[in-house]
Amino acid sequence: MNKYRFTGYGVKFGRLLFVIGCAVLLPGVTFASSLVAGGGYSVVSDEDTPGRAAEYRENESSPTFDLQALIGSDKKHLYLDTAYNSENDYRVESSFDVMTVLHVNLRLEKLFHNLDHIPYRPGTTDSRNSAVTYNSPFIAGDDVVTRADYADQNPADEYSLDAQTLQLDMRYKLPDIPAHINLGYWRYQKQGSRQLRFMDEDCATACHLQSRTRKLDRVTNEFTASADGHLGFFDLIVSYLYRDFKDQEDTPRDTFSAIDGRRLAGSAEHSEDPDSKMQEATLAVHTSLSGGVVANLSYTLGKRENQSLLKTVSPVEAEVDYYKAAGDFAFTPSDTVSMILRLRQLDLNYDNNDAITSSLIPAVAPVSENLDLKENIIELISTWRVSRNLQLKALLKRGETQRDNVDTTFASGWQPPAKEVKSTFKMGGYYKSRNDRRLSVNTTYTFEKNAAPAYATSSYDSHELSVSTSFQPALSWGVNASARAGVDLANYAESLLISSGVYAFERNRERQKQNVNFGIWTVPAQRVSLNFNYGFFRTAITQDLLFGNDADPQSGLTTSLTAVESGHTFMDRDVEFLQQIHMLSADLGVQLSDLVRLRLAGRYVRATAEYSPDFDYQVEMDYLATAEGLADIGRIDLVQSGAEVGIDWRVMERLRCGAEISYVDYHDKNMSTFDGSVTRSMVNIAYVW
Amino acid sequence: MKKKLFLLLAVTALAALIPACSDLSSMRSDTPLLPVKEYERMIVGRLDADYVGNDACLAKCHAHDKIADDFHNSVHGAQVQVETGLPLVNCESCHGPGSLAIEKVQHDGDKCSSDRLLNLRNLPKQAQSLICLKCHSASSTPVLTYWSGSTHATSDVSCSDCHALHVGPQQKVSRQEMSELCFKCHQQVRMEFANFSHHPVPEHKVMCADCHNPHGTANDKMLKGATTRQVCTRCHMEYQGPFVYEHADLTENCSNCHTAHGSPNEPLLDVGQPFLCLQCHAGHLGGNNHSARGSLSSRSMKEAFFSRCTDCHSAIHGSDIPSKSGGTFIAR
Repeated sequence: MNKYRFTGYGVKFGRLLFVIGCAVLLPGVTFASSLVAGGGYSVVSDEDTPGRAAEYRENESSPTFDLQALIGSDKKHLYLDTAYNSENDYRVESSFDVMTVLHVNLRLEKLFHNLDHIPYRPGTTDSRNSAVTYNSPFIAGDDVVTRADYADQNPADEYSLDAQTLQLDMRYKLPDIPAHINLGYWRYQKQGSRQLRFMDEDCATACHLQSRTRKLDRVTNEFTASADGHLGFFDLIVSYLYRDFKDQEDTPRDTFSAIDGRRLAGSAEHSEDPDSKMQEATLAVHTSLSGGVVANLSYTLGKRENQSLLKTVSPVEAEVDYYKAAGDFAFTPSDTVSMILRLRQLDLNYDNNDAITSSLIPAVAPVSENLDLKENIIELISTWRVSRNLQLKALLKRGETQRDNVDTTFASGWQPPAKEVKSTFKMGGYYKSRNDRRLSVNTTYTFEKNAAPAYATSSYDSHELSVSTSFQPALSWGVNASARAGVDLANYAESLLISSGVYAFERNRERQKQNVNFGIWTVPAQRVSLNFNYGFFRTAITQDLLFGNDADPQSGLTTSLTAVESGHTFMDRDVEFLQQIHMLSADLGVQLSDLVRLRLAGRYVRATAEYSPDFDYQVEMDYLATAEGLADIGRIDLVQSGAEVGIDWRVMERLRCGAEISYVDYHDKNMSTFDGSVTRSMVNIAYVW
Repeated sequence: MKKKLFLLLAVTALAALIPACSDLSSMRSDTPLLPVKEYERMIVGRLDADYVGNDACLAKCHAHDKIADDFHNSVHGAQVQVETGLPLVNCESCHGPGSLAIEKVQHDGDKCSSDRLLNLRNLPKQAQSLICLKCHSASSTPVLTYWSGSTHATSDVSCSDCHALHVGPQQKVSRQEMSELCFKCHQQVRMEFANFSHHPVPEHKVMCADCHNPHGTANDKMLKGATTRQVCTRCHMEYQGPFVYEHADLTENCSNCHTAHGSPNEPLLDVGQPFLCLQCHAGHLGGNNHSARGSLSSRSMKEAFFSRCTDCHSAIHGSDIPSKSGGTFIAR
């Protein structure tokens, strides 16, 4: 289905619903409906590569249109809200209600998303090099050998996608009883093209890094059906969800070369985005929410299935069966204390084929079982309302994660732990002055301990403190601020299989995260309002990095297997990574007269990140591996800025008009590939009935 | 086994329906377990006041005409109709009996004694919520299933902190307004969305409630779905799989690598490549297996092997295609 046809159907459907709604409503209209309609024009100009400056704008000049309408009678209401910015950026939202017995929501929306095209063209600024050579002075015949080269099959293509959503929900209340039937349909279609970057794995001679265009036409359909009812002492909810995904474009193919007899030459498919489906059924019950004792229990059964259409690989069989059980028990004996017990259990079981054949692989390849996951979580939360102004809260949580099918031989390298036990303690306080409501303070401290952390995704020791406050000492100004600081500590023995056995490398890691946000608002003069916000985010990680995972020790070197370095593997200790982001924004509003308002706004974001490895390591008798240049290659230094000026004028009581100019800019201080800016000028006029 | 258990629960629940359906009056009423007396007393209002009805209340004062009109056209207003079978909702349902408040109002323009109504703003948050829950417990509101144990409910947030019932006939928070509402408390999240790589929440194309249910869920951080992966793969279903070759169990929680609100690292990565991958995996080095020879020998080799790992390992979320080694190279 091409995009224009989908858009056409959606618009026609929206129109049809509106007409039906009016036909149903109008005969019974007994109150004046409200209607706001407006239109205008948006002129857009851009410079260089505007995709990152305005990630979700198509950057095309276009007429604009918006409409809000409420039409109704005593018993029926139709609400419509539409906004059209361009052919690829619009929304239609409508809700139709008949005495709250029948409620229908319709939403039709389209968004546009610019995507990057990383240049692979020789000679292009910031492009990858056309050929990467490696010259070994020690190995005969290994002079000036090309080790990697780059090619872009579609160098001039620009990439973007548009995403269209159609959502229809209906809720119907059964006559005479507090029970409902709910039906829902959601359709999500992404169309466009993106860059497919891949490598031809012929690394015995050279790695051929390639880029080509991959067309996108993906559709997700989701159907939901549920029934819920209040049955006296408890409520019952039964629901079913079906979702499927289809890639309507063929999986791209390319020609690949032979490698050492391990791979045959020939044409083969790229990794696809496999068609899949998901089904889920949930049963939930809960007691009255207004009681001092509230209990709820839910049970969800589900299944996800891979429905791959690959032709050059078989069999492709993968599915996940899962269930999730959740239960809460909340006890509030008085207005000062409450206790909540939360239980969660998740069980995910993967099933996939044991062996696979590919048109490019001469032998049948074994396939490991994917990891199964089981999680059991128990949480106890207690709150104590010390006074009308102050509440204290404490939380104790224990989570157990069990992974099955972990490769304990470590033949495929690092493995997550088979079992993790995480304990969390959290306490906090919330203060709010009730008399004048001008000061509130919220503070929380969290401590977590994990007996067997999964490296880099969890830690053995974790602390976090957060404080937020808002204060309004006078009617004319106020401040809000928040700060958060946390540190995670982890170490892990990374095990590698070496010819004489499994060998472990002890890796240490510490991660710190801090952020601070501050905002102030003020009305310094009668018709002037000012807002200023500043945010700072910092992530600092210190950890040991491993380079090389080769099993065999280097030939010609004396290597002790008990040493940390084992020939083709070495550790760079205490490598530091630092990421910092500063954000500033300011907004000024000036009521120039009773009818005219001026708006000014500015934004500035500066983000930097780099890591700093430091090592010298002799590899074979070949070359000295150094860290020189690694920090430069991985460094990020970005500046985003923007400004906006707008004016709103109420010409008459029911007629308004406005104009706005906005400018956004993206600048990378390390490379100019994605630098660009967008300027947008808009005028609009609206009438209110 | 699991399917049998599910069927048993379903049959039990359905069996409970039969007697329940036969007693309409108990079905329609709210039956709280051990109600909290202190909160119940707070929301009753003045015991020496009587209910006077909307018309008696509003007819004396036209200052509330707009509020009354909006309420009349709202979902709550329709419930004044007896034939809906729903609990009655009018001004006094929330504000308490109004006879004392209008006692001294004789002419249009006279102010009512609002201090004789329920002082809603100064009630504890739990009592404020109870006013809403009294009706919403009896009328079957499945979105509130996990409310009592939710983060918001246990953090002193009440219904009226988010739902403003008198700003217009549309009483639910609209998609256009939702992010600003949430940002009032979650300032840090507002700033996160200012990064260039972000979900289009500031552009109002995605809203907070597309991923979170602020009333509570069975998942962490009030995310919808059984796992984090299921939240994300609703829109990004190309990564749902399941794949023959998975990226361990990492992809069951997308936030192992991604930060959903905003990041300076495309695409929404918590930390940029290659450091993101080096946190768990060893970097390339010369040798016989797995590592390209000479990958740390020169600047250009380092650019090839230590800039963006996904240039080669392009199917990083999982693949159905074996690599040349037959194992999980996750390329192509």
